[in-house]
Amino acid sequence: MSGLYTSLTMAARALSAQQMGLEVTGNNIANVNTAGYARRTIDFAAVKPESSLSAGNGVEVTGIRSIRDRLLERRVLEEVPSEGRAQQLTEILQVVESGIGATGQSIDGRLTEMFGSFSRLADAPTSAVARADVLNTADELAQSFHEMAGRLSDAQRQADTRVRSTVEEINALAEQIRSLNHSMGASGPEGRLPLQDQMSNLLRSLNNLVNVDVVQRNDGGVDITVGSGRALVIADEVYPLEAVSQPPNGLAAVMAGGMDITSELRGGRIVGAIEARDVNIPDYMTRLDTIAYELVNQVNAIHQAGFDQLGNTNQDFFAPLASADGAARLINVDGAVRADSRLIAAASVNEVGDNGAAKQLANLRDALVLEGNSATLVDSWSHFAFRVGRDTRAALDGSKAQSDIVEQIDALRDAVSGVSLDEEAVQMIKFQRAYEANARFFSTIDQTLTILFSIVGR
Amino acid sequence: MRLTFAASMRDAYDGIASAAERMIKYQRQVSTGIRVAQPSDDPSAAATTISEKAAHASYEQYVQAGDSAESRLAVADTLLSDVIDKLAAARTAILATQGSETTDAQRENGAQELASLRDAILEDLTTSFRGTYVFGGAAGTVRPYSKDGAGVVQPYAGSAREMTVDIDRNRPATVVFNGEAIVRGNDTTDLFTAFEDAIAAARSGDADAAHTASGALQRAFDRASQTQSTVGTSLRAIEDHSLRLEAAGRASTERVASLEEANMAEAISGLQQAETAYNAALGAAARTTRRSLFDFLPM
Repeated sequence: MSGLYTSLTMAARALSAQQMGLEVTGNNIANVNTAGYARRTIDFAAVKPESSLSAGNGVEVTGIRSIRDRLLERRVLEEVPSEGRAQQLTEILQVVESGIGATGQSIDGRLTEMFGSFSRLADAPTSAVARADVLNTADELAQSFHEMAGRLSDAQRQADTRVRSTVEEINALAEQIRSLNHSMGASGPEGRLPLQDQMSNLLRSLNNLVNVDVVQRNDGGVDITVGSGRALVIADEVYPLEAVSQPPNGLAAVMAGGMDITSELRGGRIVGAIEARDVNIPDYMTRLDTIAYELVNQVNAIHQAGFDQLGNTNQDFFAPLASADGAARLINVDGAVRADSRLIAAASVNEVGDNGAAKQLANLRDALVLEGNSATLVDSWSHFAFRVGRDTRAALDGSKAQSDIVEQIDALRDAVSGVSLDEEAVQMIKFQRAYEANARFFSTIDQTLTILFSIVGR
Repeated sequence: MRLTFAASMRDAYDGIASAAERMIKYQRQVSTGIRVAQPSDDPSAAATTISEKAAHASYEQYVQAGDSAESRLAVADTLLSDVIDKLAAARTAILATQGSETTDAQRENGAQELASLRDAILEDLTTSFRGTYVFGGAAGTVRPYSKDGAGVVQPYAGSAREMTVDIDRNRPATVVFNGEAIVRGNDTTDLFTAFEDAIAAARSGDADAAHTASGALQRAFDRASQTQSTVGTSLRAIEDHSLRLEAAGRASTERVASLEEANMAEAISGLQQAETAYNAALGAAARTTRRSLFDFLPM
């Protein structure tokens, strides 16, 4: 049978336990908006009685746990890279799309205007005004090609900048994870809870940038590999990635330990940027170059066969291009023709009033000269716009779908690990009332002892 | 399922953001009248719109070419009518100079009238319109006929190649004519030589020569009439094609509108619905986050 002093000790221990319960609740409420925070719960256990006749020794705190669902956290880490990739791809493609311009006011409009000017030249082949009109519209068209090629080139360079900055962000996160690994190794299990929250947050951020494989260490830390098992963080060591400019265009390759791992990366914002830079934008550039190159060749072929006002033939209208590579950037009206509009070959015979070549040039508008002779130049531009629009729409839809998936998993994770203010309020009342009751018990024992002491003192 | 503070806040924000996004989409449609502002709004519609606008521009171009050709042909028609009238008058004048009772003065008058008619026809056939001789063929700026110092009309200096413009796809219309085809045709000598012969015959009273010259003028009359008939056919074709092209242009405009433009009734109704949804989302978020158990705890 325990004595009154034992009861006092028991009451004091209970007060301490309930106070700790209140502290845990307060900590949960304080971290209600902390990203990655998993709510804590306090574990109580009845203190083992000393004998079979003992009522017991009260309560003791056996531990404080954070409530986590490893499966859900892993699922989040698995889905976040796809979300990051889709978001990054969407952002870059939206920039590309904004450069296309409104329908009828971009390259399609300039093509139509140039063919219209050839048609007007056919109506008045000797008119200096009609010839100047042809030069102006052709110059405008060339300028539109230059601007579009420039915008694509800028978008590619911006995507490359994002690749480089993402590599820096990855290295910064890797460094923070290394530091956490070190802290976890140095601290005991009870000190790891806040570090685990931070680690969970960092891993999520890292996976948003690049898909990594995470191996849990016994000391609570993690080892991280990227690509095909390339070390990024192993215990206290970081193996930083590098963005190294590569010939011929100076775009960056992602290197790990001197190896090019660009093609090994599977997800995350860096992959979205790489895809846009190396797949989408080059495809658009090739399509644009093809339109420009075919335009130059077709116009020149007709123009060479025609006669200008001075009786010359075999003259190019556009400066000839060696290949389609970079054609949109290089297309220009031939310098001699630009300097003297009389050199425009409107005639198909050597007679100044003939308009045969001008008519052929105007009719080029409806000629099926591209995509295996199945599309006009404007058709091909519309296919270009369709491709950009379709890719952007697919990226937007993919980004939204992936965000929805991540959001759903986040909701499930929150249901397990998140802080419910109502629940914490209940916990707070529970611990407060328990504290009050234990304090009352303590007071009762104290009063009992006072009565005993007063009897002894008489 | 436990409902957490973060989850309810996130749901509230998602609801607001989604409703706001829908509202802005309809707001943009209502304010601009455009449904497809960028290709990703509807890639297929955007691509079709580009092709339709190009087709529309093509129709407009052919209509403009037709208008231009029509004015050229109207000039040619007037000139040819004048040539035909003068050729008929010339034949009458030749007949008037013949006969046993015709005096020398009457023959000289007839010769003068023929010379005057010749000069008038020469003027008609050397008329230029918009810097190009109507009957000079592809030579364009080269005067097709001119007189030498002795007043004799020189052989044709224009081109045998006529100039056509396309008034529709694969539908050319001749707008600059080969003067030689009217003036000489398959004859060995041209109309102006026939006039010289007729003038000489008028002065000499040579009935055979006058008859031969009259025949040559008649053949020229036939050739001019035939050319005028061609002009008339082209003018009718331009009118027909213009009507067809204008109808095609209107249809194309309607297709572009249906693809690109917003259905205003639908957009306004959508905007109202989205606005209601937005207000509801705001209200729901405000109500959801307004109360918690803490509000009922004694202070």
